[in-house]
Amino acid sequence: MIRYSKISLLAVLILSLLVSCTKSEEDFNPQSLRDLKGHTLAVLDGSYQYAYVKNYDEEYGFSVSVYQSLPDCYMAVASGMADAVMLSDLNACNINPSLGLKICAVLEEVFTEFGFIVQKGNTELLEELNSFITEIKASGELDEIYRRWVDKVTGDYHDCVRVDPIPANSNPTGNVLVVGNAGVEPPASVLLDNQWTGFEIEMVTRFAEHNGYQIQMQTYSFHNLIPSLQYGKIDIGASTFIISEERKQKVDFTQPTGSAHSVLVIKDKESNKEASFFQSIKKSINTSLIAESRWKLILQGLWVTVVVTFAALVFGTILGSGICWMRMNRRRSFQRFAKFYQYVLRNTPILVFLMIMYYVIFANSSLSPISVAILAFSLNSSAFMSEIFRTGIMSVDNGQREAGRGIGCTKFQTFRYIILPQAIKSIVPVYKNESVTLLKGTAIVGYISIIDLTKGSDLIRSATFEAFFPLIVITVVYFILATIMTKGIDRLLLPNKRH
Amino acid sequence: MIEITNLSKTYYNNGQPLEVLKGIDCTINKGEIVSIIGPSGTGKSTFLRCINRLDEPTGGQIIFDGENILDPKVDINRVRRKMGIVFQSFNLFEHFTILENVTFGPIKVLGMKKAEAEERAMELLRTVGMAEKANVYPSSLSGGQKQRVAIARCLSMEPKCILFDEPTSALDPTMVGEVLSVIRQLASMGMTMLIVTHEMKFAHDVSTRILFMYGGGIYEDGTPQQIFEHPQKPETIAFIQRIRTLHYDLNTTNSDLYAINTDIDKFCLKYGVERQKFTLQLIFEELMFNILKDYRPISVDISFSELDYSLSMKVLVKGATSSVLNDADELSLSIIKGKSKEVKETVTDEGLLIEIK
Repeated sequence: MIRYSKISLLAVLILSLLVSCTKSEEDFNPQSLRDLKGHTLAVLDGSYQYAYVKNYDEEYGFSVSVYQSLPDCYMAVASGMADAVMLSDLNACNINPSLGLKICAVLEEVFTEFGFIVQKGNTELLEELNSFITEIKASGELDEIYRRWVDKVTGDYHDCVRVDPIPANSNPTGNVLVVGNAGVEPPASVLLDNQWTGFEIEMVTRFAEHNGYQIQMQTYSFHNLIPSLQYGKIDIGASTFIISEERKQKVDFTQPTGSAHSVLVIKDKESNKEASFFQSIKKSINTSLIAESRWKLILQGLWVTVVVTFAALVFGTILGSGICWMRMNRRRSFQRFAKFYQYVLRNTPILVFLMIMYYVIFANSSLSPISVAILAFSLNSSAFMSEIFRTGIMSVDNGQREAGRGIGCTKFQTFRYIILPQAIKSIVPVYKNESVTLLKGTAIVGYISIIDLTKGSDLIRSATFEAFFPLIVITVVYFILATIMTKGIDRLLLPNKRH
Repeated sequence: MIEITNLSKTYYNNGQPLEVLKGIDCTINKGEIVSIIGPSGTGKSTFLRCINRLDEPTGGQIIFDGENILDPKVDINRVRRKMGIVFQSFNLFEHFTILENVTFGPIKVLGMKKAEAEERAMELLRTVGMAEKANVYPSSLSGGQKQRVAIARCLSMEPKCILFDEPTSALDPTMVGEVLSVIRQLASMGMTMLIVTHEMKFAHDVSTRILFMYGGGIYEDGTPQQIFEHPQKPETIAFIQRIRTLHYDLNTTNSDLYAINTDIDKFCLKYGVERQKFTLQLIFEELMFNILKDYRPISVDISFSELDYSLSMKVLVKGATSSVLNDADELSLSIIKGKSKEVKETVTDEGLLIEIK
């Protein structure tokens, strides 16, 4: 198995290199949306730009690709999947030169203002925020914050200043404010050196300090932030939310904290990759893992992934055995319940199920996101496990059961000593399959603000703009985890290999 | 030892009741060796499996050792320890070695010490001649060897009686002997046994009593001499003499002679009398399409007895009241008479019966 994993690892590496290879390019330098005719434009899901370009794509004849995070947008342009990305100049000002992207046009007509969002009707918090913003605007503190994070004056968007992370301010006695952010939008909010930082983070931190709150950060996909706010999972949404009429119907905005234009970013043909393969790998390792101790994020995510997978596997197995027992029970009502259970859980996409559990069923509970994830994955995998167990048990010839009962064994003894040991042989291979599926399936827990292996790599990608390397790192980690897990199951369930 | 009263079993297939056992009464005494014989599908195996409740009877009572084992309060597992069963398909525990197969029951069910159980198991394996295979797995054994181990496994529980459910039916003919001789050995030791079998010679030689089952009940019950040498009832006679029959109803004069000839071909091939197939086909054709061509309906039975290898044909001409052979075409009649031993004609209530041997 080790040998196979080496080979497959190599295949993944080669594939990713092929993807990152440059395609033949034409001369492409759009100055407005009109120039995009026949091209593909990448936008961030749920963003203002997305809503804006949807009014023009048919008229101007370009197609729109929607991505879940800014790094995905950059990666799409860098790899040629999309020809340009449209985003706010605030975000674009921090594009890493090593990505080989450049800003080709500033769309002055797409001028927007942004602010924080709070749940509709939470006027108390809204007023506190508004008066704080008025105060820092008057005192010049807001301008100072911007000057430190964003250097727009020169028009040189590449040279953004990164200051040291703001110290974590805490008022140990204050009420907890949960701040939701997308976590991948420098310079507004980003994870640097395992610290949440950025100008919006600084603003809310200063606000908390000023008004005597404690701050707790949670990270969601951008398009999930408004729902999280609506369902009460977070108190403040901080992700440079552009103020629009459509959004105002769902949430309440503070007064604007800043403004932005939109820009178009395309691939920079001048930036040739002169570095050799090994040099660029070395550089990638350095920026993705070593610099600012980013490997800690991978390690932390690994731990979360392991905990969620292991717990869901254990509970899923126990629950699955119970459902299997009911399914094979003589009582019709038990059979019917088990069938219904399997029918519902097997046919619900796990992502939808996870979101329903988190945002609807446990919306108002104090259960931690990790507990909700464990519960959702346990329930989901138990439906599959129960069928795996059932087919395994049914694969044992009925004569074996009769022989057991024939010499006077009880039902339980027959099951324990005769049926189970034989069923396990056909269960284990499929069971391993299901556990690996479960392991990889946990990659979606990022949707409910858990930083697992995949989300960890996303955060690194957004902080470093390394498109592929963190993904390859976690692929290797998943490989290793899956290998350990399948080996462990073999060792645990097939104690002595015979025949 | 076993007293069975009015035992019945009905299966329900999509709500359609199918009565397999129709109120069986029977007493088996200690030390008896009872063989249960009869045609397929007459409930022999079901009867046997109902006795230790592997199949749940739907009515009646079974007294075993003075206790009604159909009482729901009875611990059937305790009963089964005293009443072993040997299956047609052996059902050895595939994940255990031969030795473990034989020690499993004593250790887990009877609570015996491992060393003691192994010692006794080896002794039993020696009895059935399987001691040298003690540490191999069942998958490497032949059918006959598996069945001998299954008998040893059954004996390991020290049962008071053993039920054999067609113990040799899944075996190659070459392996039947080794299993039967083990059962013979048990018989000589005085074990009470009920054996469902198709081995007539074995049943004749080893049994103290034969039950002939037919149509879900015990049709005839007696000593091997009574049943095999002087059977009383017609179905028993047909079974014992192993008479096979091919039946036809000819209702019009347009019957497909070629199809019937093909059937006669198959029938003769099946019972190894191919040399006589042309004779049969010739007689059939002359009779049906010459002599009796104006008579319909006719029902025909072609019978073959496996015991004395004799073929016979019974023709019932429905509605005919007088002899037809006397007015028959001379040539056809002489062909039929020349090809057969005996031609007999009788007038019955239903019509004219012609018997040709």
